[in-house]
Amino acid sequence: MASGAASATVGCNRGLCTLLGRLCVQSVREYQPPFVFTGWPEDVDRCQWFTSPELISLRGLDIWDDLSPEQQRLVSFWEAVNFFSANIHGEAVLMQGIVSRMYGPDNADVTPYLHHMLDEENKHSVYFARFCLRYAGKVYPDRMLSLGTDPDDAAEFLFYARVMIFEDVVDGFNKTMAQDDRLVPVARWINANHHREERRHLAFGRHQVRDGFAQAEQIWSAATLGEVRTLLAAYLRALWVPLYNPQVYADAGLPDPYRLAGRAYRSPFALALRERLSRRSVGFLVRSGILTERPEL
Amino acid sequence: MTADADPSARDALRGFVLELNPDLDPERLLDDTPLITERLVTSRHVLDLLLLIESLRQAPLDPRSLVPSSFADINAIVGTLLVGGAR
Repeated sequence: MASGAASATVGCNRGLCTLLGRLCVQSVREYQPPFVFTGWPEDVDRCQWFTSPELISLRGLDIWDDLSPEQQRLVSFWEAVNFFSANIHGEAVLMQGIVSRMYGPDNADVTPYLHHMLDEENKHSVYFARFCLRYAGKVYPDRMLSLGTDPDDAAEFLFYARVMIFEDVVDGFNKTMAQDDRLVPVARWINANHHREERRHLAFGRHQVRDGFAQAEQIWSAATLGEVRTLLAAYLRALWVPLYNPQVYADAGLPDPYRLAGRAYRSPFALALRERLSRRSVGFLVRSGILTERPEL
Repeated sequence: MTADADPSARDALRGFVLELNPDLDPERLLDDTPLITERLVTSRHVLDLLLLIESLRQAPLDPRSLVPSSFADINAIVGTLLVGGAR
């Protein structure tokens, strides 16, 4: 074990043990203190690209094409604030879930890696929040809504499944923007850093989901299994809701922001983007037998 | 806004549900008809429902203050989300 690493404990199955050991070593090797990055300008000109234009929620609507280049870039600034805000709220749920699982009798094997994951998720939130607060003066409120409640015997599985889906979809954004040299350096760096560390979390998440489903499938009733599938399909839709935020359009000075959010969500371009960035996690869930069909997004 | 002072809020919610469910007899949609358990509103409609409620109250909702029963029926939406409810 690398010096200072929280090591995976003995006793876990070989595949999990090997994975956890590798992830712990990588986390130590790539460890970075969160407060030493020097690439934070005091202020930014908001009329630059902060979000890749191909990922902007209004893309494909006539109103987007009618905006001046400066207005489009201003929208890209507020969309970045919104994307980072959605990440802050998503990671808060994730961190609460991680903390509540540490040291539990069923989680002895994974607790050492959960320490690293918690540390890394907290650092991501430090970066997201610093951007939002320094350059926008605020974090947008959470907009994730749920219409259902989890069955007790599926709560553990659903936690890891939602984390995996959330991280996978977000990673699609991060990966694109990490490579986009039109973006201002600080926005590009935040995305690149997140992408680098999320790869480990995704590997862990996929293992937990696959393993958790294999065990739970033996126990769940057909009704519970059906409910789990409905809740996961609902989550695949719900996680996109915050990305069509009327407050973004209002802050960018666009008229009729509530109507605009609805139009953006329903546009063929937006649907194609949701399908493209959800494809990897949906494919995993279908291949694993967790979902039986691709949900309508 | 206060929805009780403005009945058009209930009408807007009824119109939203009926538009989603064109086969539903409008006479059968009451203010206490279960929307979620009857699957008249599903996860497919979350964003549109959120936007409708926010446009009616002219302010964002804070989902942290919501529970699934907040959307149980039209009475619940009006009572908890439109009349001095969740901020």
